[in-house]
Amino acid sequence: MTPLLPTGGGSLSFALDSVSVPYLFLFGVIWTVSGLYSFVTTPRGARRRIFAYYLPSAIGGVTVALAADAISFYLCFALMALPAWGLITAGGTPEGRRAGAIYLTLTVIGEALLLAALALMAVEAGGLRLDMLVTAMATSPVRDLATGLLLASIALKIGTLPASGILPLSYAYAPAGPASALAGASAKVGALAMLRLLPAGVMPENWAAVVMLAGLTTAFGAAALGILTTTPRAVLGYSSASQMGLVLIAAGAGLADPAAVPLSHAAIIAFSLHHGLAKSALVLGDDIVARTAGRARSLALAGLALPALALVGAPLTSGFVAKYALKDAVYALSGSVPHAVYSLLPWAAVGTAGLMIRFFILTARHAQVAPDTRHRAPAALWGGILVLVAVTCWAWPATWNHHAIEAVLDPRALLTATWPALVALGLTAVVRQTRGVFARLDGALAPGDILVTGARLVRAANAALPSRKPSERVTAETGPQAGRPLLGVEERLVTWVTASTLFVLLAVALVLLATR
Amino acid sequence: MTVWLPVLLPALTGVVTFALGDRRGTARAAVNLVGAIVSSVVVVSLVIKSYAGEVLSHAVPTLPGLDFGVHADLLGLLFSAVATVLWGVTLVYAIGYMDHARDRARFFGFFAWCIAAANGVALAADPITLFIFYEILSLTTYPLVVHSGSSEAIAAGRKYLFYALGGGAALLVGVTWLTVLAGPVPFTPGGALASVSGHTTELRIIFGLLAAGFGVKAALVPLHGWLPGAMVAPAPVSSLLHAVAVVKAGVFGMIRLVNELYGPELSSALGVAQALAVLAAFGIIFGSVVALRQEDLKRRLAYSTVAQLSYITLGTALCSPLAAAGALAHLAHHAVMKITMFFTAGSLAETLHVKKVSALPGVARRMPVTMTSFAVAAFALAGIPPLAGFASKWLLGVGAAEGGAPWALLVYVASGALAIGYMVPILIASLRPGDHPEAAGTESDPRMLWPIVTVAALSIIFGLTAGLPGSPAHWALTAIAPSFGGLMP
Repeated sequence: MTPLLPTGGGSLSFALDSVSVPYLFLFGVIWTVSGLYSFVTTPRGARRRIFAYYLPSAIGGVTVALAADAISFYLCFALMALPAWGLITAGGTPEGRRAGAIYLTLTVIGEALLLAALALMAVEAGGLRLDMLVTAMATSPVRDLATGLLLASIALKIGTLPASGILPLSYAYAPAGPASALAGASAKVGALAMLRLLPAGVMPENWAAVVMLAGLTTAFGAAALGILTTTPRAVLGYSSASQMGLVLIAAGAGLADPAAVPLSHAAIIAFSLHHGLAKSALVLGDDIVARTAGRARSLALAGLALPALALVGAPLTSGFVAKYALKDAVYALSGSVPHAVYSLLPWAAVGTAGLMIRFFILTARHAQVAPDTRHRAPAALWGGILVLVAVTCWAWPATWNHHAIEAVLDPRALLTATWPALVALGLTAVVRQTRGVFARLDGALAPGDILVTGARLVRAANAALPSRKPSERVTAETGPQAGRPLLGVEERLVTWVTASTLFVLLAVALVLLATR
Repeated sequence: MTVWLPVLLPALTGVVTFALGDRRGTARAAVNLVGAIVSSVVVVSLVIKSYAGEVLSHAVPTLPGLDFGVHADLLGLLFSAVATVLWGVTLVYAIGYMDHARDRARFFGFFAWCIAAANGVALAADPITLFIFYEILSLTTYPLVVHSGSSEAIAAGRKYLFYALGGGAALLVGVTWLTVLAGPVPFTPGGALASVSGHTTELRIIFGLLAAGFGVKAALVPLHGWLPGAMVAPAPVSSLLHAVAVVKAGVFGMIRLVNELYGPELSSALGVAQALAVLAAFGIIFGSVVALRQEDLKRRLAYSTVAQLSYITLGTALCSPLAAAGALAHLAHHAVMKITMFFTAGSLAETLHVKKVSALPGVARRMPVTMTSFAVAAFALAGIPPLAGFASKWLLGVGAAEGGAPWALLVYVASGALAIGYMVPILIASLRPGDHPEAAGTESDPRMLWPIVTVAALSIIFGLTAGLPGSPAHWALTAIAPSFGGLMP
């Protein structure tokens, strides 16, 4: 029998390899800086409440980079994601609570899917180490089921359509510090899961095509949704969903073709580093703008331009490097779907540019939340992140992409990198000129889009369901919730005669079925 | 004779408790605690012997060809150890909880007898002995359910008795029929019915009767109706009924039935194991979904128990070694997790008069240690590693996949998500600001607080040590291995 027993210290294994290093760097920097930022910006009395959730989340969020077996990966994954609920609901507003509830529901479902996938893979592999799990998938009969479960779990983590609302929901209501940690690190755990768990290079072609199309749809769809929202951080959330769509394309590119796997992995890592730092910097910068006035405010807005341009993929930024890595991964593939994806990729940058313009417009509208003179420490922390945004992708050998380095010196490539931003600026100008036509669209969407609508529908459907008049004795037993459909069944079930009759009938039916 | 001690010692404790009467509280407490400690020591020494390969057994001849026998195998000792050790912890809690209650001699006397009967069920060497102790367990639990004497309690007690005796009747018919068919059938790892050939229809019906008999106490939907009603009992009894003795006697019976009476092979060949698995899977989802809706704290826990017991039944019915071991491990793990929760519910009701989920706000601030313990148990139940629930669920899930039933894996995983769905709102509600006028951090009586902390710690320890010899998970693997041809972990 295979030693599958979940032991405690014995089988929780952690290791440092070429994948853990960049993620350990990314998660370490983001959780530390965001933690310090939270510390200096949170009033003394509220710190306990925030950090009771922040610290466990940070422990899981950082150690997940090192997890080397199924149990520790799942543990860190859960440890990061579950306490984040407390960060999202920290504001205590009804919207925040609703966001927290939706976040928690989706997170729990995602974790359940992940656990199912891990268990299936562990049985096939006869062990728990992550590399064993992935290797075993190559020849396994449950490959498709396990990969499907994994991808569903990752999709919920990275906000793939139709779940893209989970990211804006988790950024919009948390205080700025924790929100920046969630923005920079949370969805990147999904990217890490792609690297660690997806059976790259062994899946059939159509899996790759479906995954890439899902990524592409999200890249465009989430951008469109984001432009319709009205708070800066919700815009950033949709932008993350859209960008993670690009990461999903990179993962899809490596699914079927073994030759494309190294390129795909390089693209995922480059994108994670680039996007994690830039998005974290944007969330913090948005808060700095709200805390400053006058010249300092102008300076802060100018500082925000760096991560924003990086996201758009402007020349010399980290986004420039990441986009080349992604293009390389997709370009290596043959077939109609990869070709279509390749030719549509630049248009995704138009969406991102549109989102960034929208973000700037909204941030500049910020009323100053508190005339805060003590913004030195937050600003210094933010400055540190900005420096990292500027240099990391260039200084990190693992993300060096020779196409990107060559392109820096090539005017045509620079034009290719710039036109999406120009198109987005042009479109914005048109929209602003024709305000009357588009005014109705402005703010059409609360953060969370269909998720919030879905939650409302579920609640409404629940309230509207016909409720049976329960007998008094039963009311006493089941309390005020009596009359809901399943409880109605339950009331009838609990009488002894019904129960025993049912049991006999069920047993007979099942045995007949089982022995046919 | 040593092998009878886990039954005789608690029985004797009960007798002395009745003899002491209602007045002498200190003596009663001392006698009970000493009884529990000595019984625990005896069980532990039997466990050590059994781990070393020495299985004690003893039989008293009653009728010709009909023995009344017990044996101390690892499988039975796991249940016995859980019942006996948690009896000690529950006693401390109960002494604090019942401080001002009336009829305490009756309460503690029947309490001890329940444990005697549960140990009898655990160690019974054959179905007939098991049946006898099973009936004694039903009868000794009844006075505990109706302890308060309110009309609600009497009604719940009557319902419990109907279910229990009905189940007992099914069991008796099944056991007798089987004995007629196959002669004496002592529990044998891998199955005791090798001598029977053919008779498939009879064997199927008998399996159905036995499963229905055990299913009543195991709260197998649709036979679970008595359980939520029995929540009117005092908290220590709810803990005993729902976490340790009674419900676990039911699932333990299922484990003996599938692994050591019919055997995994015959059970699958007859199709009865698959039928049981489908019923249990339905019970898991049904119990979890109904639990989501319960506003009363103890009722929510009760439906959670319905679901969790079906976990064990499903794991047993899958007839795969890892799933069967996971089921047995979950018997112990669920016991410590659920007893933590019922202790907490009892403390909240007794100290703060909080019984509803909606009344929870402010509770976490008022009783932080108690609620932290509850949170540990809740996360353990939801299967968050490295807590106890994760270890057993992992075994169950992996066993399901290995046994060619990935659908059962999905049921387990879905119910883990549902468990978060009915547990986390309790935690969230208790964290909301609310008004409990007394100072923050005032916990309940230390005799109630420390047992909670102890059992919560066990849900952590059982999870962390799951790979080490002597932990429930490792123990379960060792105990279940002989039923599958002696595979060792």
